[in-house]
Amino acid sequence: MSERAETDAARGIPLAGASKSADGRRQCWAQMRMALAADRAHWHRRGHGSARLYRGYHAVWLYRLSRYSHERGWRMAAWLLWLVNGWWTGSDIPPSSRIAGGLFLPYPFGAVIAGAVGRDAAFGVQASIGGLLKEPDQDIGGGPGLPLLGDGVVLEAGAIVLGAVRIGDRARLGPRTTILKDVEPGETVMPQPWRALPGRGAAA
Amino acid sequence: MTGAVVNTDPHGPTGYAEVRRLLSADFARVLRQTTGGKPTSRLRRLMHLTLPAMQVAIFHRVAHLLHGHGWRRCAAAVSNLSLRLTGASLHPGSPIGPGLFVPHPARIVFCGSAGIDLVLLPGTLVGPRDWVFPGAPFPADAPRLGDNAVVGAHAAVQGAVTVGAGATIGIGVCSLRDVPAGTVTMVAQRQIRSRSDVPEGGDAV
Repeated sequence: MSERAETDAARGIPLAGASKSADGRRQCWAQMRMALAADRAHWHRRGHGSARLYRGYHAVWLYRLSRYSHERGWRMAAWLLWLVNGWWTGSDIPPSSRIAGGLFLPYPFGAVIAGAVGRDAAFGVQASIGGLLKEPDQDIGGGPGLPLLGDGVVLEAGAIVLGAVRIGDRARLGPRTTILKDVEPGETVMPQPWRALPGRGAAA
Repeated sequence: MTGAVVNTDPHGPTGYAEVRRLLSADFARVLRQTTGGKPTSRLRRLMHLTLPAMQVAIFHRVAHLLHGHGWRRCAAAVSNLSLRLTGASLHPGSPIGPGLFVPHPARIVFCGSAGIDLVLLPGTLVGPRDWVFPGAPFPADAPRLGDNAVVGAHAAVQGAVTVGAGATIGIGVCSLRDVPAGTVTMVAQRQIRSRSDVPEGGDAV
């Protein structure tokens, strides 16, 4: 594998003409295998045991197979794998979304990942990315109207990124935040603090 | 937290008698909520056992019993089954006092300790900041909810937070700090409203 292809594979960028030649097909498969190895490495770094036992890894594994089928042009297989993923793990990761290696998804139940995600991303409980309910007006690389996440982005529990939005590298999106605008690299977003309802309770 | 006697027990319920006591309290709570204390027929009372609120309670009490006995993998399996059947994922190690009421268990993720008469509304996230698997031991930095706590729809209580007795976490509130007893929390709803007669192509948000 050439150096260019290796870099692209690590970033999850599909190889041009992956299904045209036998060499391209082999590279496409090798890219998927590398991405899965990076996923397992991320699970291992987080201090959990064998990733293969967890349903979150099953979700990522099924997504990668579905993605491979999508790149090869096997649309029915990609759709079936996506369906199996939804039934078995409860997550909705369409094969058209582009996710680089090292995705950590501990709780796949209810996770929706539509868009492009960089390397070593971590999605907390019910964290999801996707588009808004409107006509997609721009495509910044994640698909029409879908977000583009950098490397090492951490989405804590319930964080939601919506629309064609760029999230910088190593950004941290706090619990239950809704991101509709760009986030700088290394930035941390925290949710709005609560306040007590006046006239009720001891703290009012 | 006066009713937190159950919570201080680190090993959970030690026997079937304790589980039966907790479950009968849950059943009484569900009956009280649904019938308003009016007398009902035996068949109708029996029907309440099939409500999702009772299913969640039964699954969690069984899983908690297994977890207390050290059968953590079996407890995780029961918790997983509960997740598949009801949609609520309660960590099997979380000590919840009698009178648990989960009317609509969809999308609930709970890992914390609670006193008596806890109410969980749909979409609540209660747990430490980092994710713990149901098979893992109960974390030390889990939230502690007092008696009569109500966690509203789509609310989140994250980290080592103490929620006082009788506190209500409002809709969509994310609480990362302590909530005093009896407080009703809320977030300012900043909404941008505009007329819908924008031209075609404008944001219809």
